[in-house]
Amino acid sequence: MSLKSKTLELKKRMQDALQGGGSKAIEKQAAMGKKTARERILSILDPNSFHEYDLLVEHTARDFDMDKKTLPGDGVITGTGKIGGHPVCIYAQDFTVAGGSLGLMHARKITKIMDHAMKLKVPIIGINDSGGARIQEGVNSLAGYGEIFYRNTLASGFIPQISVILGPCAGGAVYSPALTDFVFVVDKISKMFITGPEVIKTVLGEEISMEELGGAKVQAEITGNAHFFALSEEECFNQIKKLVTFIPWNNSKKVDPYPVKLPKSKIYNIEKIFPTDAKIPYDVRNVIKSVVDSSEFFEVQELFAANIVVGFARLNGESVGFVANQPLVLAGVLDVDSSDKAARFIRFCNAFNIPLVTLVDLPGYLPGIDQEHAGVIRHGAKILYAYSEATVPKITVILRKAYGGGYIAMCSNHLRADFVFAWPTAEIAVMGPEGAANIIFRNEIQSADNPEEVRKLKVKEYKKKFANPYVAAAYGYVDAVIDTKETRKFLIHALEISTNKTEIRPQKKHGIPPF
Amino acid sequence: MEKNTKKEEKKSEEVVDSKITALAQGQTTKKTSSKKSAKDNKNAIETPKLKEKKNPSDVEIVETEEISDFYDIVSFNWEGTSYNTTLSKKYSIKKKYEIPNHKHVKAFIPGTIQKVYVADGDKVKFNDKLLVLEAMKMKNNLLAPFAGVIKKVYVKQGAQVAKNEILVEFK
Repeated sequence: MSLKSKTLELKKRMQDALQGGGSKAIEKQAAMGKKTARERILSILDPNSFHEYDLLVEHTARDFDMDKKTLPGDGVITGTGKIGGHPVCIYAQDFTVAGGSLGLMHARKITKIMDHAMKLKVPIIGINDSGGARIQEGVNSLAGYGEIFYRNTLASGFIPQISVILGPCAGGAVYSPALTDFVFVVDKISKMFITGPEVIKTVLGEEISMEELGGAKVQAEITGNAHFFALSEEECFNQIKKLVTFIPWNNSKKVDPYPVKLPKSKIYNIEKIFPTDAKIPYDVRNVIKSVVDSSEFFEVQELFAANIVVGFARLNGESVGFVANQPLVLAGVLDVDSSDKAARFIRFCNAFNIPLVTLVDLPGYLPGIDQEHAGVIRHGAKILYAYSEATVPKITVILRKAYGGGYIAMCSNHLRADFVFAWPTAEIAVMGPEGAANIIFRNEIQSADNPEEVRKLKVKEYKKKFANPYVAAAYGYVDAVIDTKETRKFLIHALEISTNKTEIRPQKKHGIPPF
Repeated sequence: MEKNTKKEEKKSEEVVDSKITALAQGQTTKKTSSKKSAKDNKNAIETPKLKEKKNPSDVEIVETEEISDFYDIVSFNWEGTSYNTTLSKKYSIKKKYEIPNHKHVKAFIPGTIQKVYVADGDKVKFNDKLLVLEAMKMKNNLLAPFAGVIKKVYVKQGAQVAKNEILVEFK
């Protein structure tokens, strides 16, 4: 046989495999408003950068007449490519082939590309669109899931792991995304749950739709399983491309710097967007935008626990993780969810050498029966743990109120912030003036002829004496009280001189964070 | 006085300025149509309506004085201080805590009543069988939490019960 005919045979084999589940299945996929697995990979990666492997893998199942069926690529596409020039490993489950169900070879393809990613030290992106385990393959499909989870855990904190949910992701399959760093969902397309509505109905008699149970909005807003919510697949892919610019290839690298651009200080003018009265709300994201490069802030978990804001931005071209209390939602309190959200983000930044900037404006931990019973003690401890554990440069700016436990938790000097700056509007105190005055001057207020007036007077007195940054500054807990206009300058300088920061910590296998 | 008015004028000029620049940069500065007066916000405490949140790319610049036009601002009391803020969806849909009534025997899991052993007015001893609740393919015996008299049995054999539904009440 000539080279030409040999090449022709290869072309034919490839063509068979490349058609996936066939035109009918592809039409069905399109009818659901979904792209095919291959289209998705090609839309995420740079043009002509995708190189596919294991295209000709075939499944090995023999039972239930499976030996008579061929499943092109065994329902998953794997390969390597580039996003904005950054190398990545990628896999996408192909719903058109046997519903993207996971069998032995399907799982092997995924674990193989994951092993590659770890060897090559590049991020891994997984696109999930699967009906679940391939029942015909029995215990082998369970083994497949287990092997994936194990690798997710090994890779955690070593290479960035990104999960994209573009279809159903149910049962055991949900735990791979849950173990990864960032989960992307798309409205009306993504569905995640452990047990579906049907099982819930037969077992528990409760009726609920798929969308209400585990749709994209629910995952992004209520459960916090998803980090990025998009209205379309295109928007989702753009989010992925953007995220990749803020994170390094692996944990031994730093993020590539970008050209420095000044913030749009005319739009994000502190005097206009920032009220000095601690009771008046404002959007803290505007404060972030007032200091960061080109006023661009890329928010993570925007919809979940919105009382804390986390996300990436650049300062002097360097990628920085921001954590900020959001006075616009629940006065910016820390609660079960916000503590959980912030702690996870802090640990990601610490694992991948991304410096942390914390903006503080909160009255404390949220009181309430539901919070106490939901375990605000153990969840609230997560943020303390994450900040104390982090050894990346940590810079804190106290904007307004920093009361009680909230002050300690938000990367205070005591949790080893490298620099704590305070605006002149900062109020660092053990509690709010009203509460404090009520306790300290209880007797005086109660025994007075006009308790209400005395109370007001005492609140004023306390406010004047303690609701400011100067008491903390006098003890050295605040390194500098700064003019709001100098915030960017101070942040950039602090980051620059922290480049070689090293901290020696006790040797141990690992800590025991309050999971 | 004069100084103040001048300042105000300058301020409003800047506002227009910033909005124009924002438009030029493709940012939305349109106000949401559901403009709310401060009076309406009082009702918002009981039934907070949540406006669709925007993506970070199109977060609007809201002047601090105008913030209640964009968000459902409510008063949030904290140790004697009331902060103006909005409520998160999860916060506003949370269930109110109820003090448990120890005289009620409730379904700890949704399921079906397989058998009822007691009737209204029966005297029972501690740990006597009250009924069988089948759920998740398991038959669970519900026992008397203490000795007493049954005031009312709320369910019949074969009834489907939801979680926390009251099944039996003691006197």
